[in-house]
Amino acid sequence: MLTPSANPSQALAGRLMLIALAALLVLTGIFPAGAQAQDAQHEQVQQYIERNLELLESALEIVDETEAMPPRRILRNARDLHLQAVRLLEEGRPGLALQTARRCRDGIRQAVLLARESFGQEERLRQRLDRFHEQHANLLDLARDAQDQRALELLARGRQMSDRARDQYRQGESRLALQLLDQAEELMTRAARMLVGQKGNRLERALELAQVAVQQAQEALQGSDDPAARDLLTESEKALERALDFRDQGRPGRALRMAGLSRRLARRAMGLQGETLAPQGVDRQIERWDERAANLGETLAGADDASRNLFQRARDHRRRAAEQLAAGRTELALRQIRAAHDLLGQLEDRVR
Amino acid sequence: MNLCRAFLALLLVLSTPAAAQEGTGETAPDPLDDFQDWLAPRSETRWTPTVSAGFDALLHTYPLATTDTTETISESFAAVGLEGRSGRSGSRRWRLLGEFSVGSELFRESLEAQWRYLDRRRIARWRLDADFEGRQYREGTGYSLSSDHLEGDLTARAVPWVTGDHLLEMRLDAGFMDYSAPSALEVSHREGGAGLQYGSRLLAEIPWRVGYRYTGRAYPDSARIDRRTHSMEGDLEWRGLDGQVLRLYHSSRRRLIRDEEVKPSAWMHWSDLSAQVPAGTGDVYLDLQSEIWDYDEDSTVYLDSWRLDGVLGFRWGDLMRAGWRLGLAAEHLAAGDSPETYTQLGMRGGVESYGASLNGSIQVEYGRRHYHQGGGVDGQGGYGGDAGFEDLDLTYSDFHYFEIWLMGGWNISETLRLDVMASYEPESHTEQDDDVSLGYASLRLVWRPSSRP
Repeated sequence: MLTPSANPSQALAGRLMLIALAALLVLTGIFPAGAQAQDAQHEQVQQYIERNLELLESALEIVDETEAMPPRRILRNARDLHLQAVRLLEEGRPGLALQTARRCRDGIRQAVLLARESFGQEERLRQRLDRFHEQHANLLDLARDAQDQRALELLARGRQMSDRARDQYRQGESRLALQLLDQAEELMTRAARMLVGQKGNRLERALELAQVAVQQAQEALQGSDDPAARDLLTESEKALERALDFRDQGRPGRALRMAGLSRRLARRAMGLQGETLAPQGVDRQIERWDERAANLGETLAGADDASRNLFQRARDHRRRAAEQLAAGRTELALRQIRAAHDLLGQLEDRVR
Repeated sequence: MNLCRAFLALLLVLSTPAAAQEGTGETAPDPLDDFQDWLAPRSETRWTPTVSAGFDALLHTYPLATTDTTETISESFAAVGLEGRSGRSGSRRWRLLGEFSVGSELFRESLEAQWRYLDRRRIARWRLDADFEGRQYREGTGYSLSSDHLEGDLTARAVPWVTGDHLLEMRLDAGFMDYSAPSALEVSHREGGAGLQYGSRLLAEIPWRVGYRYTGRAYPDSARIDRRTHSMEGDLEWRGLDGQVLRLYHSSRRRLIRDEEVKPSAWMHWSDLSAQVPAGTGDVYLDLQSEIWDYDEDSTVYLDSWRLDGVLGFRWGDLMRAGWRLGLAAEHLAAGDSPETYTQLGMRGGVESYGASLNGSIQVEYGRRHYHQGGGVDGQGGYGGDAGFEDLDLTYSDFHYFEIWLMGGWNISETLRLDVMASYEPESHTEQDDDVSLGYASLRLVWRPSSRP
């Protein structure tokens, strides 16, 4: 049986009331749930950001230990991102704050990785720069002695590269510095190879020159019965043979010195052949020495002790030459006056 | 802008005499032509001026919080230099080289001086070397650290004892580095040391030497990092009859730090081995380098490590025309549990030529580096040894790499020369964020008139 309240319109209104009530209940129920979720998110982001701050502090300790700039730049950038994330969270934008905080953490990771990598690089760089400097100086001496322009150019460019590497090292750019130093070392290695090759060439050329000198002396002394010149030629030939032996035995240093000796002896033999070895010839050489010494007179007045000692030694040889000549030992006199002329030549080079 | 104009003007001025000389058909002198000159030493003092202008550029691309950052420094400069040296016949010889350069970023000066006293056997019984170097940065320079500085080194050597082919050398060293505005990364220091060396003369059949050296370095503004270093080193070179070459070098250093809490003391052992064996029309070559760091207290920062790298290859051809090389390059870093332990393998090839007027080389290497990510990596991907970083993935990512290196020189005339150097090293990582590129380019025009007595 229907009551008056069972009127359909009333029932509909009642249903509507119920729905509105239910909606109100639902709405009032949901609102506190959403607020709680937002609070939780805010808290999570805040924890993430606070952890970032701890990581930043730990990373700073490691980065401070290095001398490298890239990790410093990255960490500085990470710190800026951290501050930005804090601000975004304060402004009630937790989503954006989290995104920024994640970028900050990536930056911290990169900074720590780069910092740790740079420790080894810095230590290695210091050692390698020192070693480069030492090796470069040694090779430079060698290249200058050998007058090898190509090696000198390579060494000069290697030096430029190492200077740039040193600049970059001082800028805290150890990775870039290592790259530049690698190339400087490569240039130095090439120069070293060239100089090793040059050492071989130098020996062959020295042997060639000695052989030419010996042949010339042999031709010049054909038919000559000058015993002193013949002795010198024999000595020269022996020295050349020994130079060739040393080369074959793989002893380039001795071979080079012996080839030089052979060439000098051959030249001296030819020099003797061209002279009469008569006492008058030696006498002329003594006179010539006196003229040269007289020309040096004024210069010698202001010369240093070493130069004066050199002159003294030359004068002793000149005196002995005169004594030997007076005793009739022309050959010995000639050797003495030659030594006196040599020393005078050295002296002229010094004081000129 | 003014500097650019000055540079262009200099190019114009320098190229005029060069163009005039090009028609003469003259080429750069063959170094072997100097051989006679070497046999008959000159006695004159010689002075050689140098004028150069150029441009340097450096590039470093690396990730900056997931964004690639490209750092570039480019610099144009003009430089003058003067080299003087004594004749090569006297017993007292000297050499002086001064250089001054004006650049868009900084001013550079350097002075190198050397004096030697040679005995009758041409052995340098006394030798003094002095090097000074200065840098002054311009305002607004792109360089991060811009404190002006002056650095100097002085070394005195004496050979008190010579016997046969061997000699004993003693040395004293002193040095300094002064920054005008010191900072944590720009620390002034003073250095002093002494050493002893015994070995063969330069042209001995088997050149060798052994030596000991002590160096002390003091940092007036940061005495805690003062250090002392004892080092022993030796090297040897052997050349076989058939072109075999073997070179060995070893150095062991003990570095002592005043405050071990700041930095632990350490041993460092460095060895080089270089060998060459003729094979067919060329040579098989091997270059090996070993570097061991052994810290008194191993830590996550200062790691005990052993790095071994080398290249085994074949080279052929004529260096004066075209010399080729191809080889296998390998590198291994063993650093215990650290994620830095890696193995790298690559192929290296190149061509080089050192002709009279043109010379240059191109070298390319391609390879891959693999990080072992050893037992120290914890479950979260972090390195267990890194306290405080548990939630960070501190592992390195594998990468493929290229190394391209170009060097060229052109003797435009006897007095004018153009030098080019460039390199580029990009790394492509499995983690794209870790990609790194390094680059360098340099262009230099050098005018070097004939030396004058």
